[in-house]
Amino acid sequence: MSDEPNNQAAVENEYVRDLVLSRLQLLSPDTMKMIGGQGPFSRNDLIRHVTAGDEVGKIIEEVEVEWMRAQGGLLDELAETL
Amino acid sequence: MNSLGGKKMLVTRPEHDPGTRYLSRWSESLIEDAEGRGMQVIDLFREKANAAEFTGRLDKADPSLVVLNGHGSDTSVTGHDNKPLVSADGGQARLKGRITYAVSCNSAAVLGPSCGDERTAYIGYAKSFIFNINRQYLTRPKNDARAGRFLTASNRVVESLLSGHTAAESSARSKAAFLQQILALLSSSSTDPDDRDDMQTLLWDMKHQVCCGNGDMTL
Repeated sequence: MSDEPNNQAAVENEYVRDLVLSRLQLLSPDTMKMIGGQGPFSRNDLIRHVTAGDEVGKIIEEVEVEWMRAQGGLLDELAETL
Repeated sequence: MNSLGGKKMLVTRPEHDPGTRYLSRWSESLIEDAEGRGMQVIDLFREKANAAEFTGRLDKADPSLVVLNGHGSDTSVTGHDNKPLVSADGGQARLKGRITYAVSCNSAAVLGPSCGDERTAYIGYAKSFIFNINRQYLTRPKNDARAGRFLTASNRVVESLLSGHTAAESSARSKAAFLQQILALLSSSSTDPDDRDDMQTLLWDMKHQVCCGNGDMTL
Protein backbone atom coordinates (compact mmCIF):
# COMPACT_ATOMS: atom_id res chain seq x y z
CA MET A 1 0.00 0.00 0.00
CA SER A 2 1.39 3.37 -1.01
CA ASP A 3 2.04 5.99 1.66
CA GLU A 4 2.03 8.77 -0.92
CA PRO A 5 -1.07 10.56 0.47
CA ASN A 6 0.50 10.67 3.95
CA ASN A 7 3.72 11.99 2.52
CA GLN A 8 1.83 14.66 0.61
CA ALA A 9 -0.05 15.71 3.75
CA ALA A 10 3.21 15.93 5.66
CA VAL A 11 4.73 18.11 2.96
CA GLU A 12 1.67 20.35 2.95
CA ASN A 13 1.73 20.65 6.75
CA GLU A 14 5.39 21.58 6.68
CA TYR A 15 4.71 24.14 3.95
CA VAL A 16 1.94 25.75 6.00
CA ARG A 17 4.06 25.81 9.15
CA ASP A 18 6.98 27.44 7.33
CA LEU A 19 4.64 29.98 5.77
CA VAL A 20 3.07 30.83 9.11
CA LEU A 21 6.44 31.16 10.83
CA SER A 22 7.79 33.46 8.13
CA ARG A 23 4.65 35.60 8.37
CA LEU A 24 4.72 35.78 12.16
CA GLN A 25 8.34 36.94 12.12
CA LEU A 26 7.22 40.02 10.16
CA LEU A 27 4.63 41.12 12.72
CA SER A 28 5.32 44.23 14.74
CA PRO A 29 6.55 43.64 18.28
CA ASP A 30 3.47 45.51 19.51
CA THR A 31 1.19 42.78 18.19
CA MET A 32 -0.64 40.67 20.73
CA LYS A 33 -3.20 38.03 19.86
CA MET A 34 -6.11 37.10 22.10
CA ILE A 35 -7.19 33.49 21.67
CA GLY A 36 -9.78 32.76 24.28
CA GLY A 37 -8.54 31.96 27.73
CA GLN A 38 -5.14 31.01 26.41
CA GLY A 39 -3.78 34.45 25.64
CA PRO A 40 -2.56 37.02 25.21
CA PHE A 41 0.22 35.90 22.93
CA SER A 42 3.10 38.06 21.76
CA ARG A 43 4.72 37.58 18.37
CA ASN A 44 7.47 35.48 19.94
CA ASP A 45 4.92 33.42 21.92
CA LEU A 46 3.10 32.64 18.68
CA ILE A 47 6.31 31.59 16.96
CA ARG A 48 7.09 29.25 19.85
CA HIS A 49 3.63 27.67 19.75
CA VAL A 50 3.69 27.13 15.99
CA THR A 51 7.18 25.66 16.18
CA ALA A 52 6.04 23.30 18.94
CA GLY A 53 2.97 22.31 16.91
CA ASP A 54 0.75 22.53 19.99
CA GLU A 55 -2.94 23.46 20.23
CA VAL A 56 -2.37 27.21 19.87
CA GLY A 57 0.05 26.64 17.01
CA LYS A 58 -2.53 24.49 15.22
CA ILE A 59 -5.14 27.25 15.54
CA ILE A 60 -2.75 29.77 13.97
CA GLU A 61 -2.07 27.34 11.13
CA GLU A 62 -5.81 26.81 10.62
CA VAL A 63 -6.31 30.57 10.34
CA GLU A 64 -3.61 30.68 7.65
CA VAL A 65 -5.14 27.78 5.71
CA GLU A 66 -8.59 29.39 5.74
CA TRP A 67 -7.08 32.62 4.46
CA MET A 68 -5.34 30.81 1.63
CA ARG A 69 -8.64 29.19 0.67
CA ALA A 70 -10.32 32.60 0.77
CA GLN A 71 -7.77 33.96 -1.62
CA GLY A 72 -8.97 31.28 -4.01
CA GLY A 73 -12.24 33.14 -4.36
CA LEU A 74 -14.06 32.53 -1.11
CA LEU A 75 -14.16 36.21 -0.25
CA ASP A 76 -16.17 36.95 -3.37
CA GLU A 77 -18.54 34.09 -2.59
CA LEU A 78 -19.02 35.31 0.96
CA ALA A 79 -19.64 38.85 -0.23
CA GLU A 80 -22.44 37.59 -2.46
CA THR A 81 -24.11 35.73 0.36
CA LEU A 82 -24.18 38.65 2.79
CA MET B 1 -34.92 54.79 17.39
CA ASN B 2 -36.38 51.40 18.31
CA SER B 3 -37.92 51.69 21.79
CA LEU B 4 -37.33 48.74 24.08
CA GLY B 5 -38.91 50.11 27.24
CA GLY B 6 -39.73 47.34 29.71
CA LYS B 7 -37.23 44.91 28.16
CA LYS B 8 -34.08 43.83 29.94
CA MET B 9 -30.54 43.03 28.89
CA LEU B 10 -28.10 41.09 31.05
CA VAL B 11 -24.42 41.51 30.23
CA THR B 12 -21.48 39.75 31.88
CA ARG B 13 -18.21 41.69 32.02
CA PRO B 14 -15.44 39.76 33.76
CA GLU B 15 -12.14 41.64 33.83
CA HIS B 16 -9.50 39.27 35.13
CA ASP B 17 -7.11 39.32 32.16
CA PRO B 18 -6.39 41.49 29.10
CA GLY B 19 -8.82 39.62 26.85
CA THR B 20 -11.80 39.98 29.16
CA ARG B 21 -10.82 43.58 29.96
CA TYR B 22 -10.98 44.46 26.26
CA LEU B 23 -14.36 42.76 25.81
CA SER B 24 -15.70 44.45 28.93
CA ARG B 25 -14.64 47.95 27.94
CA TRP B 26 -15.87 47.59 24.37
CA SER B 27 -19.27 46.52 25.78
CA GLU B 28 -19.78 49.86 27.51
CA SER B 29 -21.22 51.41 24.34
CA LEU B 30 -23.72 48.54 24.09
CA ILE B 31 -24.92 49.24 27.61
CA GLU B 32 -25.35 52.92 26.75
CA ASP B 33 -27.20 52.01 23.56
CA ALA B 34 -29.58 49.66 25.40
CA GLU B 35 -30.24 52.15 28.20
CA GLY B 36 -30.83 54.88 25.61
CA ARG B 37 -33.60 52.73 24.18
CA GLY B 38 -35.26 52.36 27.56
CA MET B 39 -33.96 48.89 28.41
CA GLN B 40 -33.04 47.97 31.94
CA VAL B 41 -29.46 46.70 31.92
CA ILE B 42 -28.22 44.16 34.46
CA ASP B 43 -24.46 44.61 34.39
CA LEU B 44 -22.56 41.73 35.99
CA PHE B 45 -19.18 43.48 36.21
CA ARG B 46 -15.94 41.86 37.41
CA GLU B 47 -16.59 39.68 40.52
CA LYS B 48 -20.35 39.93 39.94
CA ALA B 49 -19.89 37.84 36.82
CA ASN B 50 -20.30 34.62 38.82
CA ALA B 51 -22.68 31.69 38.54
CA ALA B 52 -24.81 32.59 41.56
CA GLU B 53 -25.44 36.18 40.39
CA PHE B 54 -25.94 35.04 36.81
CA THR B 55 -28.55 32.39 37.51
CA GLY B 56 -30.25 34.49 40.17
CA ARG B 57 -30.62 37.50 37.88
CA LEU B 58 -31.77 35.38 34.96
CA ASP B 59 -34.48 33.80 37.10
CA LYS B 60 -35.58 37.02 38.80
CA ALA B 61 -35.26 39.66 36.07
CA ASP B 62 -36.02 37.42 33.08
CA PRO B 63 -33.96 39.40 30.52
CA SER B 64 -34.84 38.97 26.84
CA LEU B 65 -31.21 39.59 25.76
CA VAL B 66 -28.12 38.01 27.33
CA VAL B 67 -24.62 39.12 26.31
CA LEU B 68 -21.82 36.88 27.56
CA ASN B 69 -18.28 38.24 27.46
CA GLY B 70 -15.78 35.66 28.63
CA HIS B 71 -13.78 32.63 27.86
CA GLY B 72 -15.48 29.56 26.55
CA SER B 73 -15.26 25.97 25.46
CA ASP B 74 -17.46 23.77 23.30
CA THR B 75 -19.80 23.25 26.24
CA SER B 76 -19.51 26.31 28.49
CA VAL B 77 -18.92 30.02 28.96
CA THR B 78 -17.10 31.33 32.01
CA GLY B 79 -17.24 34.50 34.08
CA HIS B 80 -14.76 36.27 36.33
CA ASP B 81 -11.62 34.23 37.06
CA ASN B 82 -12.73 31.70 34.45
CA LYS B 83 -15.35 30.18 36.73
CA PRO B 84 -18.20 28.53 34.78
CA LEU B 85 -21.37 30.58 34.30
CA VAL B 86 -23.39 28.36 32.01
CA SER B 87 -22.77 24.97 30.52
CA ALA B 88 -24.44 22.33 28.39
CA ASP B 89 -24.93 20.00 31.35
CA GLY B 90 -28.39 21.41 32.04
CA GLY B 91 -27.58 25.03 32.87
CA GLN B 92 -28.36 26.01 29.31
CA ALA B 93 -32.06 25.68 30.11
CA ARG B 94 -31.87 29.13 31.70
CA LEU B 95 -31.11 30.62 28.27
CA LYS B 96 -34.34 29.25 26.79
CA GLY B 97 -36.79 31.87 25.63
CA ARG B 98 -34.05 34.50 25.20
CA ILE B 99 -31.59 35.76 22.62
CA THR B 100 -27.98 35.20 23.70
CA TYR B 101 -24.80 36.54 22.13
CA ALA B 102 -21.66 34.88 23.48
CA VAL B 103 -18.42 36.69 22.72
CA SER B 104 -16.30 33.73 23.62
CA CYS B 105 -14.50 30.83 22.04
CA ASN B 106 -16.15 27.67 20.79
CA SER B 107 -19.45 27.84 22.69
CA ALA B 108 -21.56 27.70 19.52
CA ALA B 109 -20.14 24.24 18.86
CA VAL B 110 -22.16 22.41 21.54
CA LEU B 111 -23.64 24.83 24.11
CA GLY B 112 -25.33 27.01 21.47
CA PRO B 113 -27.07 24.17 19.59
CA SER B 114 -28.02 22.56 22.91
CA CYS B 115 -30.12 25.56 23.94
CA GLY B 116 -31.36 26.60 20.51
CA ASP B 117 -35.03 25.89 19.89
CA GLU B 118 -38.13 27.62 18.48
CA ARG B 119 -38.23 30.20 21.27
CA THR B 120 -34.48 30.64 21.72
CA ALA B 121 -31.62 32.06 19.68
CA TYR B 122 -27.93 31.71 20.45
CA ILE B 123 -25.30 33.59 18.47
CA GLY B 124 -21.68 32.70 19.13
CA TYR B 125 -18.50 31.27 17.70
CA ALA B 126 -18.10 27.60 16.81
CA LYS B 127 -14.32 27.89 17.02
CA SER B 128 -11.94 30.30 18.77
CA PHE B 129 -12.91 33.96 18.82
CA ILE B 130 -9.59 35.65 18.10
CA PHE B 131 -8.69 39.32 18.05
CA ASN B 132 -5.48 41.27 17.73
CA ILE B 133 -4.45 44.21 19.85
CA ASN B 134 -1.64 46.73 20.03
CA ARG B 135 0.15 46.19 23.34
CA GLN B 136 0.65 49.95 23.67
CA TYR B 137 -3.06 50.16 24.51
CA LEU B 138 -3.30 47.38 27.09
CA THR B 139 -4.34 49.90 29.75
CA ARG B 140 -6.57 51.89 27.36
CA PRO B 141 -8.49 49.20 25.44
CA LYS B 142 -11.09 51.54 23.96
CA ASN B 143 -8.36 53.59 22.28
CA ASP B 144 -6.92 50.54 20.52
CA ALA B 145 -7.96 50.98 16.89
CA ARG B 146 -6.51 47.62 15.97
CA ALA B 147 -8.75 45.80 18.44
CA GLY B 148 -11.57 48.02 17.26
CA ARG B 149 -11.52 46.35 13.85
CA PHE B 150 -12.68 43.15 15.54
CA LEU B 151 -14.79 44.42 18.39
CA THR B 152 -16.85 46.92 16.40
CA ALA B 153 -17.75 44.10 14.01
CA SER B 154 -18.61 41.85 16.96
CA ASN B 155 -20.67 44.59 18.61
CA ARG B 156 -22.78 44.86 15.47
CA VAL B 157 -24.68 41.75 16.64
CA VAL B 158 -26.08 43.51 19.71
CA GLU B 159 -26.47 46.88 17.99
CA SER B 160 -28.57 45.19 15.30
CA LEU B 161 -30.70 43.33 17.84
CA LEU B 162 -31.34 46.61 19.66
CA SER B 163 -32.33 48.18 16.34
CA GLY B 164 -35.05 45.59 15.87
CA HIS B 165 -33.37 43.10 13.58
CA THR B 166 -33.87 39.36 13.98
CA ALA B 167 -31.16 37.16 15.45
CA ALA B 168 -30.20 35.81 12.03
CA GLU B 169 -30.16 39.30 10.49
CA SER B 170 -28.04 40.57 13.36
CA SER B 171 -25.48 37.84 12.85
CA ALA B 172 -25.45 38.52 9.10
CA ARG B 173 -24.94 42.25 9.73
CA SER B 174 -22.05 41.48 12.06
CA LYS B 175 -20.48 39.23 9.43
CA ALA B 176 -20.94 42.02 6.90
CA ALA B 177 -19.09 44.34 9.28
CA PHE B 178 -16.21 41.85 9.54
CA LEU B 179 -16.14 41.66 5.74
CA GLN B 180 -16.15 45.46 5.43
CA GLN B 181 -13.09 45.60 7.67
CA ILE B 182 -11.35 43.01 5.49
CA LEU B 183 -12.25 44.81 2.27
CA ALA B 184 -11.08 48.14 3.68
CA LEU B 185 -7.70 46.60 4.49
CA LEU B 186 -7.53 44.87 1.10
CA SER B 187 -8.26 48.08 -0.76
CA SER B 188 -5.81 50.14 1.27
CA SER B 189 -2.90 48.61 -0.73
CA SER B 190 -1.13 48.30 2.60
CA THR B 191 1.71 45.83 2.75
CA ASP B 192 1.87 46.03 6.54
CA PRO B 193 2.19 42.44 7.89
CA ASP B 194 0.02 43.44 10.87
CA ASP B 195 -2.80 44.38 8.48
CA ARG B 196 -2.47 41.05 6.71
CA ASP B 197 -2.69 39.23 10.01
CA ASP B 198 -5.77 41.25 10.94
CA MET B 199 -7.43 40.33 7.63
CA GLN B 200 -6.80 36.63 8.23
CA THR B 201 -8.15 36.81 11.76
CA LEU B 202 -11.20 38.88 10.80
CA LEU B 203 -12.05 36.29 8.16
CA TRP B 204 -11.69 33.51 10.73
CA ASP B 205 -14.08 35.20 13.17
CA MET B 206 -16.56 35.99 10.41
CA LYS B 207 -16.63 32.39 9.20
CA HIS B 208 -17.07 30.85 12.63
CA GLN B 209 -19.82 33.11 13.97
CA VAL B 210 -23.09 31.16 13.88
CA CYS B 211 -26.71 31.67 14.86
CA CYS B 212 -28.34 28.64 16.50
CA GLY B 213 -32.03 28.13 17.23
CA ASN B 214 -34.76 30.43 15.96
CA GLY B 215 -33.11 33.04 13.75
CA ASP B 216 -36.40 34.89 13.34
CA MET B 217 -36.49 35.98 16.98
CA THR B 218 -36.43 39.68 17.81
CA LEU B 219 -36.26 41.51 21.14
